[in-house]
Amino acid sequence: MNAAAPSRPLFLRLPGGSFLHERQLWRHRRLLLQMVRADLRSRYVATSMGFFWSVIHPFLLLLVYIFVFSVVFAQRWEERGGFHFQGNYAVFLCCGLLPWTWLNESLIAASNSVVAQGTLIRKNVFPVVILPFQPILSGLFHFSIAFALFLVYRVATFGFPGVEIALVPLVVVLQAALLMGPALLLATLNVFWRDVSQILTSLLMLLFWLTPIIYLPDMFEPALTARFGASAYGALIWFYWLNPVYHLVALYQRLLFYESIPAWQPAIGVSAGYLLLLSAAAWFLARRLFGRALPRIVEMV
Amino acid sequence: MAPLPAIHCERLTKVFHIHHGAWRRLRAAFSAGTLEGQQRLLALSAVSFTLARGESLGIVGPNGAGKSTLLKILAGILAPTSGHLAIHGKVASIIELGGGFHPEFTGRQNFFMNGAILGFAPSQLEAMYDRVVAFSGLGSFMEMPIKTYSSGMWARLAFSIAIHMEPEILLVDEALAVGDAIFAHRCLGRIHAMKQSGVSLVLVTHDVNAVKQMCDRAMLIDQGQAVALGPCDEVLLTYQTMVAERLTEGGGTDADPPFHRIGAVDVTGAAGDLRYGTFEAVIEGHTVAAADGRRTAQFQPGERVAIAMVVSIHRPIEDAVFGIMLRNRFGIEVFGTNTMRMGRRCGPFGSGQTLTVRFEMDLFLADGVYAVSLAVHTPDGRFFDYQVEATFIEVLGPVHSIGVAHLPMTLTLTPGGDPGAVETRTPAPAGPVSAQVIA
Repeated sequence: MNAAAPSRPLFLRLPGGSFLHERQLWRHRRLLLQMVRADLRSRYVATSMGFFWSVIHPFLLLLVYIFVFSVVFAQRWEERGGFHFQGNYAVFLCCGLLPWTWLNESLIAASNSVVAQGTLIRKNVFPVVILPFQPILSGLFHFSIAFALFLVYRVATFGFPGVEIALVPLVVVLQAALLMGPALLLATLNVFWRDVSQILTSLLMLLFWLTPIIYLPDMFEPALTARFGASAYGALIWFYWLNPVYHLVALYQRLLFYESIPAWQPAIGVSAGYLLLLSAAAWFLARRLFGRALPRIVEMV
Repeated sequence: MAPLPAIHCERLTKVFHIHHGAWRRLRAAFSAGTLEGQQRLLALSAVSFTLARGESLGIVGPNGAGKSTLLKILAGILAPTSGHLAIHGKVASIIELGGGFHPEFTGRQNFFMNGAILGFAPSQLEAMYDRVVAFSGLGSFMEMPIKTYSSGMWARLAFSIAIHMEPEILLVDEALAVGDAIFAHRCLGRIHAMKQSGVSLVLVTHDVNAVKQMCDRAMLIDQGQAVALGPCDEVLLTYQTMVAERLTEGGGTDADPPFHRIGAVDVTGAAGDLRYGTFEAVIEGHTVAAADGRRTAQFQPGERVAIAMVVSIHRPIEDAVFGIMLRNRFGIEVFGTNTMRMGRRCGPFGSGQTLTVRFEMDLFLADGVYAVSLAVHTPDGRFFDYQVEATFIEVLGPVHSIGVAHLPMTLTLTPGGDPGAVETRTPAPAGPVSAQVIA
């Protein structure tokens, strides 16, 4: 063989194993950031209020939920002997709704990310693997703005939180890690079966209501037990324990909202460990399937 | 040790599998082997060739022959199904101009995006930016969203970016057909220069003339197979014969028009702003007109053109030389002269003086767009003002000939076989080039 290493097309140069996709991702990190910037810019490019919109949307949504749940339905829950959010529904809501919005938007956008950039992939030697990460990072940007505003409100109403707040950035990183695998997997599947993106939208809507984001299961306990017996409520709690989004939301709620932990809630370490495990498993599966499908992705998009 | 070839490929084959139904597609995507009952499409079948460093290869063939598939495999976009491919050198491919552009962004933002896709660091792009803008001639348009660009401007930006990435191997697909003629002119000139400096070139095109003028060898691809590979003349003849046969066979729907002509372009577009010199004498303006004084930029072969420039003198000049140069769209100098070559001494000129220099000539040139460069310089070649591609003229005639020149000719058919009976007639002698200096 010749001493000078021939420079070959990417897919030939790098063997499939040994963290090929992770290295690609790292190598093209600047391009990824550029794409994130481009996406954020394009969203507001012709609007007069620009980035302000990224604050207005979640803010209005929050107002609607706060009005509906703490004004319209509050009386009914009180009557059923339910939970009263320790006097501040808005803080509880933000702990769940802001991370959910990030998750929801980035997964839907990620599922379309590869298909949407078909021209780029067909006409350039393009690192496809970075595409699903752009929505995650764009979502992180919006999440950070909204979350910072929320923290200001949290301090204003509840006073300074405890030292646990130092763990919040770690939870944010954990959420990003949790999104990576599903984002890549969904983007890959959607290339071959375009319905994936639509199915995902519906499933996420269901998942939203199956996760204690705008309510707490404690509210239903009396009604559920009265109608289906105590085991029904137990089953619901079991479902929550399996639901990764619940663990994610619970982490935020635990760090920023609860003074005391309801008996059925998992400990912080349990939630974090479960999420780490799931993140790793999802990423492993996603990169494996993506790696197999990559040559066909270029042909299909 | 002989230098490594730029591209070496052996029996490159590409098979596309077509699957119907989502489930089959998903299974095929994630399984290593092949599935039963899938439709196979042989896009490329055992194509082999070697391209030496600095060599250029033109690839021609009918639509759907597999030309673009081959180019995409060479670029590293598609993986070959089987075969061996080795590439030595940095590759830049122009598969489609502006394939990665975002319409909402400005030209500047798109430049940085595109550069990042091609793997350049922001600092490298920053250093490159001014040259790209100068070449594209887009100037202040770089700060406007490119959705406001004309397709020609779009192409200009894309081509300028690709060409400035300083590749060792350049892969170009059909890109020369888009964009305005003036810019295509400049691009071809640039590619020509890159070739001179040792860049290897693979050109996929329908433009037989482009292959002839830019490529050392040509390859004809038909139905995925390399039908012919060799000297341009032979391969292009095979191609043209094939096209002609298919046209007669039926309808000609399969084949592309064999000749691509620029024809009827708008040559009023903005000319380049490449200009340099000491500006002690300045070319204030120029006009292109027919001999009768009618302002036009379109001429028939052999028609007389008058190109005039108005020059103002800003410093006493003892001896000035006024020159003109015509280049065709491949950047080849087809005709150039100056007052010194014509034995005409001009000067001295005093400061503040203005003069008009008028060149008149008969345009015995082949069809095409020609760039006119104008210059004022000293006898030893120091430029006062050199306007590269100051304006453009188009030659478009009823008689279509091949080559660079369109020589005045007549055709006579005489019965009988005696060579002496063949009488050649020359047309009325055309006026030689004249230069007039009106001080």
